[in-house]
Amino acid sequence: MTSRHLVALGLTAALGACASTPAPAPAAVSAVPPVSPTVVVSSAPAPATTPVPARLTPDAAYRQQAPGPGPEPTFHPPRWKRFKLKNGLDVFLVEFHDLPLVDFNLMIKSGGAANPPEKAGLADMTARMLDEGTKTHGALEIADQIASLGATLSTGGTWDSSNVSLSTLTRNLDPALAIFADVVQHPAFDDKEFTRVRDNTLTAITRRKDSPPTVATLALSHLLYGPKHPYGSPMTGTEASIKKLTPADLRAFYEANYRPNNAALIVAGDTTEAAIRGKLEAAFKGWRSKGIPSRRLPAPVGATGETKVFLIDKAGAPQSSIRIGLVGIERQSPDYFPVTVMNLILGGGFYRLDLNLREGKGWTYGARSSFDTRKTPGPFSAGGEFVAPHSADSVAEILKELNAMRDGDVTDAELARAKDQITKSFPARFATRSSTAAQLAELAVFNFPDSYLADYTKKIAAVGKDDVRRVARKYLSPAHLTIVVVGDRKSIEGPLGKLAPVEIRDLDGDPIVTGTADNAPANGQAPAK
Amino acid sequence: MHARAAAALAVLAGTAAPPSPTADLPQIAFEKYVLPNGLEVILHEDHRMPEVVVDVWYKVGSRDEAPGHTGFAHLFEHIMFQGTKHIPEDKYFEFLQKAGASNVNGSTAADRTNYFEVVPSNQLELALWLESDRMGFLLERPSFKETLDNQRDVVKNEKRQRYENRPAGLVLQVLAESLYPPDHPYHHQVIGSMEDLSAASVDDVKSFFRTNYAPNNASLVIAGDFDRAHTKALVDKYFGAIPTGAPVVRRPGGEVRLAVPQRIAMEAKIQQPQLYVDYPSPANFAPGDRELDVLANVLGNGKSSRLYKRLVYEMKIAQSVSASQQSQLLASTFEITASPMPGHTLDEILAVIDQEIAALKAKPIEEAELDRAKNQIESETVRSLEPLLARAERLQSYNYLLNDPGFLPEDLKRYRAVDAGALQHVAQEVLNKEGRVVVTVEPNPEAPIMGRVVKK
Repeated sequence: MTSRHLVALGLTAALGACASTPAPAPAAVSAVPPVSPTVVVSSAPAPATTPVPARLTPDAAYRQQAPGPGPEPTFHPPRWKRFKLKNGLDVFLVEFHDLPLVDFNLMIKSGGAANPPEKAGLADMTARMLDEGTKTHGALEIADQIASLGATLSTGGTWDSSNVSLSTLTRNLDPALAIFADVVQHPAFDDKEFTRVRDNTLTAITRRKDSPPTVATLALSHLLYGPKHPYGSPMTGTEASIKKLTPADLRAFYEANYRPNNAALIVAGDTTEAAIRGKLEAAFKGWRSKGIPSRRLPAPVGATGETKVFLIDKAGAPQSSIRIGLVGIERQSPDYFPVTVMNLILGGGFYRLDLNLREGKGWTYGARSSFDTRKTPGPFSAGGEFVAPHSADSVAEILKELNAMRDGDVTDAELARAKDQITKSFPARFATRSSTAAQLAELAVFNFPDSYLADYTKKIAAVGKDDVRRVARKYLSPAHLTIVVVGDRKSIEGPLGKLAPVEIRDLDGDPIVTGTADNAPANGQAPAK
Repeated sequence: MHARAAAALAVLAGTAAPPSPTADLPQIAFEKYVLPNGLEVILHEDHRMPEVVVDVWYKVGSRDEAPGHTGFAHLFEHIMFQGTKHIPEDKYFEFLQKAGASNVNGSTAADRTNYFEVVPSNQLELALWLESDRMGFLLERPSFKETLDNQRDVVKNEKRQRYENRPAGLVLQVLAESLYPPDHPYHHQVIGSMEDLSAASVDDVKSFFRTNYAPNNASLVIAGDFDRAHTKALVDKYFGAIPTGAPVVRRPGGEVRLAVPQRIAMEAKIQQPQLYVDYPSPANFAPGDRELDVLANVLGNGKSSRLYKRLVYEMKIAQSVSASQQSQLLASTFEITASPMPGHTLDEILAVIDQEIAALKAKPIEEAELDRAKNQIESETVRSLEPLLARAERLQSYNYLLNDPGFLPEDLKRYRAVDAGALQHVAQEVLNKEGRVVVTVEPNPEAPIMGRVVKK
């Protein structure tokens, strides 16, 4: 089927779907084995590279400039219904009858942000244990049944929600929904299964440190938010936090947060309210509402005001992973719309960062920026992967672009391009049941009114140059920037030091206590801190 | 919802019960015709959303690269976005972004190169202008040398990002070089070598374009919300005048069989070892290919698979395991990968993999397990049909490999027809220790991130 080898190389890293839509690799034509692979006997020479005669396409007047668009197509987001089950569960239903599929996505409105600081990974582990056995069905039994039905069941989460997702053929809806409801309402958190999943997770966490880009992204958040803030640790936890978790912790998190009044169910696909409402009432009959604990997140530690480079050593790395960031904005912020436009002009594909560092300098495969917006302000990050000898140059150029965005104005052309890109591609967000469900999930998790989606493009269209200027000045403050570089310390520390003081950190972004093979100072002196 | 789409895609039968070989199967409605210059055109209408996909495949990939020119097909793909006689440098994306494109990219594989854009339906003509201009007017642009030098650097950074700065990123190259002899088109990776990328010249670009980027070596799929008669006129207007090229000569190559088993020891700057077990296998659509898809599902697809149950769930000696039949045009690879839990070795895992493969050869699998695998494959296929771009790509793929864009129901039928005896037979024929490549990667903090070969 799809495969790693078949995943073709794309033009750009972040713009396209090339990696997720390789050519389908369908099955064999012939109905009859046996297989008799032939031995290759390719002794013929490769095709000659002799000059090929030119073929000239006749030019035409209509080719001299881009053809104009046809009449603007009308588009309205698909209508959805919203109703509450008797136990308080909020249900969004959007109908798609083109394929015989129904998707269910249950969002529990408590995610990684609900992790106590010493229990990083708690929400994620709780979600991942849901389908590892219920009070009446074992982990493998659930997996086998779901596979036999041709369905998919997955559990996981974000910073703001814990999710259980089911996709089933319409004809198998009843048995698939029964498993889904069982997993949501009756997880066993069995000791033996927990130990297996915990040990497996610990091994996965150690592998995370092998990847320089992952190390850089996690270290930036760690430095911006600090150890006492949930965002300061990876959502999936750390070795220390996962080792301390117990099934009782998961059960307590589950009991406190997995409640119908703290959840929304998005149903997208080949069904109707008449067909599904009664089934949902029956399936979730025993699930009871309860008060949800309120929590306040601590303030992020933020930057100290002095610009510093936090350098994490990956000896011999041919590229440096650079992340320049600060604490950004929350998803509900009224500045969300101007910030979205500003960020696109700064760090969207083939906008400023890319045009400078990729198309101009040739130092990277892609330079981007993003505001990760959550219920409370998530990180802004600008950067990418840059060829090692130009690590310091790349940091300097990114800073230059951030400064230019803050101190200057965007052009009319940039503003129009960015706004058009967002507004005119907006209908594509509703092209599939899963992308539509994702839009409804945003409404549910952030408690947006139903009119939010209809107003989205109007709010983008209303963004002016002055709005972009205002949010650039407000958020891209140099005093708040934290710079993380993961790369070959020996060759890049010197040049980076000419930009700003360099502080060496370990693979978690923490100060180095005792040097390890990977982090021993290259010059043999004590670490900076 | 549009009636045509409903008729085209609606019906899928047989899942919880064993699939019936005669039940209705999903189809992707299409019309295919060929322009006088040889360009194949495939139209698929779907009016539910005001969007349209333009998807061009060129029947050229890294398999067409001669030794010394590795990575060229992909480097060339980058050049295709940099401008033409009528499209200024760095404006390709800008045109499409301003038009509201929701997805724009190109990709290069061993067997083909594709270029696509998903745009609002009122921007179809813009997409056709852009695609036809780079098919017809790529070479008549200024400052070729500067663009080539820049994109050469970009592609080298892509190689660093995807392979050299990725943990054990060298494995795929080692596997390709071990599975295929030096003169085989699959001996080298799509990304190519740094030396060959450095050596690529403007003359190479021009020659490659003239040889491969001709309408008779390409196919165009337009999918979505468009008027058919008007669209045909537009296709004619933009692509009709592009001259036919000479027939393309292919490098020879086919399925391979290894005379002796290979075991390659590698080490990398990683925390946990990795295991790769690769068997040369039949080409895409060749006899045995679909059985290997089913076998991969049975062995290593998710929590209901045999290897997951044994290695991860019961014995707890592997952190992860997966299996796949990686189908390609000339030859395929059946691959099993795994990584161990701390305190366990790759050889412990390999022994269990061998036991499970021996079990598949010794005894036909039970009907329930076979049906489970078939149901997963069939429902996954149905699920994959939802995005318009995925349907366009499927039409392209069937057209390229089988000259039949409408092969989908036949394809599904052939999965339904797989029986336990055929699976057993194919396992016996293909999954042999004597003809496989095993690559082990062990941690060594002194080794490069991408890894290095210790012993062949």
